[in-house]
Amino acid sequence: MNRIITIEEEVPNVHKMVIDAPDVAKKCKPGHFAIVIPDEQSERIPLSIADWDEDAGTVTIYFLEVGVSTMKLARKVAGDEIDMMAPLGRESEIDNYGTVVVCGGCYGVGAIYPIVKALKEAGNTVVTIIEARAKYLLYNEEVLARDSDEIYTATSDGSHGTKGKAQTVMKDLVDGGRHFDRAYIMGCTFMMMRNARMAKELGIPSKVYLNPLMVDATGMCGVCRCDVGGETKFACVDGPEFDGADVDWEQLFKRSAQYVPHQTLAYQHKKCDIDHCGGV
Amino acid sequence: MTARIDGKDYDIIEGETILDIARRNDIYIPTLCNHPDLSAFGGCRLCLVKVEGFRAFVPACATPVQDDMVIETTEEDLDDLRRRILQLILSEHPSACIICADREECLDLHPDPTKAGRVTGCRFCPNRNECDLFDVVKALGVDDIWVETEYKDVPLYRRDPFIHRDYNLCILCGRCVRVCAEIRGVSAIAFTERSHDATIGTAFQGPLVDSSCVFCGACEDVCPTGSISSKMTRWVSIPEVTGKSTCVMCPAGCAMDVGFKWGRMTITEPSEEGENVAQACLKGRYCTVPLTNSKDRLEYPRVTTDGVLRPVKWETALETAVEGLKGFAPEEIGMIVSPSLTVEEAFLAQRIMRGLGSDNIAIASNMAGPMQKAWGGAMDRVAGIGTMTDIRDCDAVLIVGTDLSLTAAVTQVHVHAAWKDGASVFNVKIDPRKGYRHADVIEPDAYGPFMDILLEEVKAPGQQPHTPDRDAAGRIASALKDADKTAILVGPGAFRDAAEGTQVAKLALELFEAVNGTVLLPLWDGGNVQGVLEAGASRCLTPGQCIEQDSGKYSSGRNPLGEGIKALYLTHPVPEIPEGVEFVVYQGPFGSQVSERADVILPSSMFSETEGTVISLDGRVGSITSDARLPNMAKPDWKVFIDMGRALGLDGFDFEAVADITEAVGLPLEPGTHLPPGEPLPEGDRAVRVDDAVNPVGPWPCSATRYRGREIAEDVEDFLEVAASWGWDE
Repeated sequence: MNRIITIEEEVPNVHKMVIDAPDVAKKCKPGHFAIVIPDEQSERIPLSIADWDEDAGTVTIYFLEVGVSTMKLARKVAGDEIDMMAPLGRESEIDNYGTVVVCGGCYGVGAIYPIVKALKEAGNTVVTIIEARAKYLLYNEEVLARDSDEIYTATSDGSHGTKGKAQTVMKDLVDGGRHFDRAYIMGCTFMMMRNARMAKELGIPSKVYLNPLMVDATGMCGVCRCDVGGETKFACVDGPEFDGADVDWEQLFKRSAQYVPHQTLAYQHKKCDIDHCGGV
Repeated sequence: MTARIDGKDYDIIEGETILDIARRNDIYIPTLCNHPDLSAFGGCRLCLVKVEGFRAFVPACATPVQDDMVIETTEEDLDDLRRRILQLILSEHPSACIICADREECLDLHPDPTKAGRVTGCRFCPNRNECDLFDVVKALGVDDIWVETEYKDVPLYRRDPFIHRDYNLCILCGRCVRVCAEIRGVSAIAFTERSHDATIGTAFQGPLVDSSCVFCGACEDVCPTGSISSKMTRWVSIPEVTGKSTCVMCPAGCAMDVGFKWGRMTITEPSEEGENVAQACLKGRYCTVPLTNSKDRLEYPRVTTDGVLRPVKWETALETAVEGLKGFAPEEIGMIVSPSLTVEEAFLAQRIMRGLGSDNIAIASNMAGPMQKAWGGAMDRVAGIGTMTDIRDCDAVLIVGTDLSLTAAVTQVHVHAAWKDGASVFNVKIDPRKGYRHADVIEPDAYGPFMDILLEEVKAPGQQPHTPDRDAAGRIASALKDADKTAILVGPGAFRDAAEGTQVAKLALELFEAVNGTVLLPLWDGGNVQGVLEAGASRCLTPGQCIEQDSGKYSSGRNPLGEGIKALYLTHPVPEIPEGVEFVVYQGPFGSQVSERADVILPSSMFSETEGTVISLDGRVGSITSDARLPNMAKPDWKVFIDMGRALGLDGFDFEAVADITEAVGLPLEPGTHLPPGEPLPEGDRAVRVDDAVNPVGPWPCSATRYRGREIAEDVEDFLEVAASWGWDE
């Protein structure tokens, strides 16, 4: 069990959690993720590791409240204990490519940070673009700005930065004569799909961080199966980083929706012990 | 009288507003705060129009139309003004998705709303498929917001039972406040705080259970945004199949719109089409779906072998039942008919018993027997007089033996309409539970003696010495006598003791006649007691409530739970199996302590999974339809009865569809119509005889918190919380 040191709602629905996990902090690399289990009746939730501090022995995670288990997690308070298994997945492919564009959306705005940092340390010129639906949903801009050479923001309603999405900014930059050698994209499936397609259109090789349903996260169960470049991959052990141009997004959407009826119907009967949030 | 709108003349009706006449003639004027059923509010300012001779723009919803008025609704400056007002509303609503260029593709890829804690856009919103706000945005063509957007960041209310409230989405149209006060007569919520902090809430922002809220869901139905949603079904999104049905959770017979998805029932909402005027109660609205999808449903036919109930094939279960039942003489077999069965199912049930040669049939109801005794001699058919909507025109309403909270709760809507028109409302009840808040509540020691006093005060007022009860009775008596039209509603609380119930029913009828009443309704303790009576599924009755006891056709008319009964066919759990019963067949959707002792279990349907007809407490015929998949091997009750009838080798069971059974019942069962009160159905000559043969069988446990014997709270934890807070935790 790991103790939660701090937990807060960074912006509506996005929660930031700092966990006491000295052994994990020692071994974390950019691209790694953790499996978090709020209580014995919860799902195992795969969450990207957003930062770590080897000296303090802590790991930082951003998560979105989007279902029964993350609701339970969001109801936790500092001092509570959760089950965490980390680090998992393969390390991100980082090298000095020249100029790279990094796109973050929703939880990805927080979780893309280690990749920005590593790319910068590797000598790249890092252009970071973060997107949100509105100004009040943007966070971490200053943190990312520290390790980026340039930072842009995009909002759907135009309340901050460019009106549009990360891919709008990416396209504007390329149209304005910029050249990117690589793109790193992290966020919800829809955001990653749209940005990966834009990157492909603009001729930029892209990396995405897939977030399918997962159970054991060690390659045994196969729940996180996804189709990349015509091959079946396990997001947990073969990923989560994949080439954005090769991902079969439609299949990924379909697989993610597989248990929607079960979970939705579960809301009808029982209350959660914590805060009556529904579900079992 | 005429008015000119956008250059065209229209006839106007005295008293209607500009918005009314526009709606009547399909002229679009945007509005968010107006609702056809509610009073004008003039809050959203989107319906501003230009009227010749008026200095400023006027709200169409709150401006009465006058003869020769010249109105413009579509000028460019008007639309521009409306767009700016709408943008102001959008700036305090999570509107990013509303104006996002990718909205359509995003929602297509997320066909169900994402189950977020806070709704920060349409993708997360449970209301996104029926959003009035989005409709207006589309109509006015708004695609950006000129002012800075803001998230209110107020806390969510998610600890309340059934209802989830997120006032970050609220646009303060006040529809919920008005429906709660004007239609339901509850006033649990109101505008609170001022200016920028204005919001909707209960007194001191306390939980809904501590307020006067009755959890009817009317606020959710009128909300133009996703601020108010049902906790249990808010993520279900659009049903795959929709239909029209009737609720059988209580005898009010509310018309419901039902939805199915993933082969399951997923939503029930009150329909415009019934007498319930698009209103429902917490049982019909919030409990039907979780009860239908309960994890404790009976799923397999079972037979007891070596003392253990084991799952078997249907054939084996039926064979075992037939073998068992045939081992007894007809007069040794009894049947309990559930008041939640449809007319068709009850008709088949009685046909099985009569086919076996037995008349030992009773309805699982405390009211059916006493009512038959008390009213049967006085009218041709035991049935109410007048309809629920007739209550609206009454000047005095007397409610006896119920508080309209969990039985026929929707009747309160009509009672409140009468009260708003100045009617006096009296509620005679014993249980100190939550009731209609505007009623003059009288809490006597017992119903029978009080009704006696009341009748005395009607017939010979002020003759007896003063007592608190007599003073109260005098108050009611004078109101009833002064009124042009009176309504008397008699509920199950007065029928816990059969003898007292019979007395109360008799006195209520006498009172009704003494004051020359307009409406007299039995608020039955079961969803379809009226329908089961009409189907003839009670001793001495045949379909249409014809009396057959002297025909000599049946061996007896015994109490099925009385002496001499050795085999029982149950379609409703009984309090306990009487001694001497050797063989029990149990048919139903839910198990119970009784089913654990059954020899054969036949898993059947809830009303939400069957087809057929039900009859409400005022004789309204409602039809039931469904697209739900029954759990595993369970079958609708009508199919089980047909299989059973055939297995028993009885005649009259070659039906293929429910419509054939409806025809065989031989009653005028036209959905949406009322059965004629007090007239013989079908035409036939008969004299109602009341004797001990129709003695009540019971007592049955409280029906208000149960469906077919099953405690609703077992499947719906929120119901437990509400019912307990109202005092229904007996």
